[in-house]
Amino acid sequence: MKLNEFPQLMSRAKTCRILCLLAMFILSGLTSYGQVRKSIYGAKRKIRTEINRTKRDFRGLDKALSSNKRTVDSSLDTADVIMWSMKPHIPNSGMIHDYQYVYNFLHTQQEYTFPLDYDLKSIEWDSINNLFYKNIGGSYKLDDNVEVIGWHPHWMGDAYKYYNYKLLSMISFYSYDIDPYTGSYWNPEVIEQLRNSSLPDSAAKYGTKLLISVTSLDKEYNSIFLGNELAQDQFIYEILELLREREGMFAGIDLNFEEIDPDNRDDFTHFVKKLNAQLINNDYMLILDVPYFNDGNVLDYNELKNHVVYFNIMGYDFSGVHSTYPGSISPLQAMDTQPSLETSVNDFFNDGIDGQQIILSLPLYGVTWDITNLEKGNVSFYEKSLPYYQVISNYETEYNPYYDAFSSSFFFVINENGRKMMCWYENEISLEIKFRWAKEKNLKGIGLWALGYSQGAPEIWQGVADNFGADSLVVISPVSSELSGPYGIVRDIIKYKKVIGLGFLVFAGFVVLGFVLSLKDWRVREILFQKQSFRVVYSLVFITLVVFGIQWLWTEDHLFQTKRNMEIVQAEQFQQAGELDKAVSLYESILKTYPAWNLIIGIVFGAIAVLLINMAFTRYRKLLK
Amino acid sequence: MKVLARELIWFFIALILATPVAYFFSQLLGLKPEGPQLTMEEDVFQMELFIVGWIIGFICTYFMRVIIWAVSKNLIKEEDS
Repeated sequence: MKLNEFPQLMSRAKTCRILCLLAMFILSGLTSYGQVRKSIYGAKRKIRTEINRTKRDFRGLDKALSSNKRTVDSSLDTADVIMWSMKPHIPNSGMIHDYQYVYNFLHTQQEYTFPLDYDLKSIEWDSINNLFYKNIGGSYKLDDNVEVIGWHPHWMGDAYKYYNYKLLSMISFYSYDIDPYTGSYWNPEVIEQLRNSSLPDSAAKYGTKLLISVTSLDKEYNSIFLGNELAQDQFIYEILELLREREGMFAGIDLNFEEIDPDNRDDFTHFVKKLNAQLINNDYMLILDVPYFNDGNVLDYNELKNHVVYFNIMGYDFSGVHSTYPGSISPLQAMDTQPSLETSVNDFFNDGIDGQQIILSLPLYGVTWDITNLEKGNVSFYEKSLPYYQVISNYETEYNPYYDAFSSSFFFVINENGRKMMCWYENEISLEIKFRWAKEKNLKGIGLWALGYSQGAPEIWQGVADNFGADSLVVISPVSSELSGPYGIVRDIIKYKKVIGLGFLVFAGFVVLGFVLSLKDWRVREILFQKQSFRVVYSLVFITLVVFGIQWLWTEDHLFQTKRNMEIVQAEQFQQAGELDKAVSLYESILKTYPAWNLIIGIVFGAIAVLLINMAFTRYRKLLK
Repeated sequence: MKVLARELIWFFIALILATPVAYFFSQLLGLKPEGPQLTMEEDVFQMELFIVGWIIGFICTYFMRVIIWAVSKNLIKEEDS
């Protein structure tokens, strides 16, 4: 190396070092950029995966908590039915689940038809269990297994327009008052009021059964009527005529005889039997109003229970105009010797009457007594009876009610114009207690005397709804369901599959016959049977047909063997549930019923037959020619 | 005329042959219902699958003919060459 080359070399070395450094820097930069890019992409990928997973979870959640809903639009849904189209339901298992891509390809829509009820607000679909729920919304509906009866006294005028029909299974028009001498009614103006009333239409609109209360409240008149067969027959004739006047509107009668003389015990039973027989013949029902205490054993419950649909215990008036001291109108419990709702209902049970034949009526009114001199040792006086709404409006603003835990009733102590008064009544709390008690006793339902006395107080009806109302979501089944695509035509094929199958068999038979007849010509026979390859094909076809035929004859459900498959599924379920004995016995039964060796028998039979045919043809070929 | 007769024979053969094909097709699918009883939808679906199998069988018969034709054409060509 020359000296003068040294600076040049140094300069090159420097350049190289710089270049190397630059390269290293770029490389490291590139490397770190790559790493950063990688980490960014990695993070992005992770985020994207996470987003997709979250979306999938949301979709799953959405499916699980499906908010699929069909709201009823009264302006659009004017027909008797409501239609709802949606994507076809895919079950969680089974053939539709297994081949859902085929199913979805064939059917893009499924249309359900539901009956349109008056209380239907929307239909909701539970996609997991494929169940439909009828949402009756905030308005209530009674449970189908209970009865809530209310009385519409004629003096309430057109108050029936505002009744809560949704929470009444029966409503009774009060009343047809029997003329004991003739059997006709002696309050024509009331009957005329019923005739002109739109009460039957209102009740029918909500599916509330309408009854007519028939009353006879006087001891002497009862004796006259019950001793007069002609009057009874006339009454039965007239009441049936009245019920028939509004075709299909009335469900029957509610019979209210009070103060029956013990001497007329058998007469009354006889009358009820006769009346009920006629009502049943005309598809009407009979409810018998009975007092809370069967004084003098005047009502023969053991006999009567066979002739009435329900006994309505009038669970009120325990204390009232006939009482010498104030007390609960409808006490749940009372002192040992005093009657109460409990003793009353227990008496019925002791007579062998089932709770499901008993309705317990409760008061929607209060009774006021003058107790000014009671503390001085004098008697109290019955003052007046007031409907519930008047009790509330008169006293609740000024006084606090007291609760009597023994009777489960409330009362006010009132100071009015220097007099001391007491008002016993039932409010939403005491009624709620009694409703619950009636349910615990397994009674059929409750009654309310009388409608209109509460002026639709929501607190009272809330109690009825809470105790006797149905759930707001009620399972509903579609009247029909129709899939789009070939569903209709295939359903028709299934419907007529025997005819279609037989037709196809006849067709195939004639094709085979044509083939056989063509064998009449020896040239055809020669061409068809001389080649061994042809013979193999015929033999295979023949064996297949024999196998097919034997299997067909062997099994009960020929085409798809779904019955066998269903039994296998059931056996698997038993196995999974640990019920091994059942599973083994079912498997054995399956093997016995559907033996696999029908295939072997088919092949053996087919092969022997083919061998014989071929041997015969070979032997008699010349003869056939 | 001969072509028409041949096609007619093949058509009927395809029609009949498709039936066992459909049967085996639906058998091999191993159709199982969801519950203890067959629903209407399942009943219809298994018949639809049977029809699908039948259509496949029918088409495959003609497909088989096409294959036969193609193979024979190729083989004959090779022999000729």
